[in-house]
Amino acid sequence: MYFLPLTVAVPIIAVMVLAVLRFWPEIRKLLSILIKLVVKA
Amino acid sequence: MNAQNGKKAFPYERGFAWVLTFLLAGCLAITILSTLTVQILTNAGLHLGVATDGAVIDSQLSHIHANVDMLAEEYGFSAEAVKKIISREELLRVNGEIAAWWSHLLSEGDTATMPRWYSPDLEEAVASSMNRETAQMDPQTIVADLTEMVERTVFPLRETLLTTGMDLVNKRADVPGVVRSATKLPMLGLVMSLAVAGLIALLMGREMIRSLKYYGTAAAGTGFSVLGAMVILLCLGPKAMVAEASQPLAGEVGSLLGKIGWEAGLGALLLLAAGYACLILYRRKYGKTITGGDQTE
Repeated sequence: MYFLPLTVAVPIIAVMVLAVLRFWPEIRKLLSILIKLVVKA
Repeated sequence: MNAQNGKKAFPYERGFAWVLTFLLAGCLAITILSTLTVQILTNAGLHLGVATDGAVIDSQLSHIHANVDMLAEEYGFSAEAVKKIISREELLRVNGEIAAWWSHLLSEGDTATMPRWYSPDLEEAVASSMNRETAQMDPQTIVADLTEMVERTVFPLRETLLTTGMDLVNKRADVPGVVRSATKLPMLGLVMSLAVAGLIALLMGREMIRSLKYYGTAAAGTGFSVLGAMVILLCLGPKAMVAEASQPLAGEVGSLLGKIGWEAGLGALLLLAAGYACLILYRRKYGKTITGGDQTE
């Protein structure tokens, strides 16, 4: 019974982890470009 | 619907209840996320708190003092005299002014020019401590360098890029109106959550108390998910990523994430507490008659 919340949390966290593992290099590159663009050299 | 005689007024009741549970979790997550976004967009106190955070000011002060030492060695003026002018109190004042400007830019799309830092005593401090005969640079140029360095430390972003971007956005949208609408999102999320909770209660019919199992699962599940998202974000190290571009900005980002993280963490813990309170109540009601969680249905 007290593990029921995990039926909601585990799929959501799994999707977040998988998304990060799959797209993190691209996201990081994009963020890096954005940061370099807005930060004073 | 009646659990005692085993009849259900609504077919696939449990299936629908679980779908609504996930929907409720989504609505609760939207409520938390939109609350944090609204905080960032409209809470001037939050930005002032970040800008005047003791750790941020200390980091800016040490960065500025290191640069003053470097410039003093290069141009031959007294670093101590300049450091007295660019004091902690002065930095707090400048940070406060720039935080107010930044808040207006974010919440109202106000593209007024960023407040500039200027101290009339700075030129005198530089000029009086320089050896004019060996000086390689005139005091005005050194003062301009120092002023730019202080401004860059306090606000490391390109303000012209931000104000130009905001000007373009202003031409296409009513920024204050959009922000005002965004402030209603948390309430909308809450109303949607209540509506979904109401639907679950309706689905349970006379034995509404059975809804507690679904409410508890959704609330505590959202709490776990928010905590999970925070751990993932922490592992990605956004502060270190910003630090690669600018150390002073990393301090401000760290302070902002810390303050927002507190609110998100508190919200997640409240959801966890509320969720498990629902599950405990449900267990107390049905615990003696069941061995699992679902046998009552």
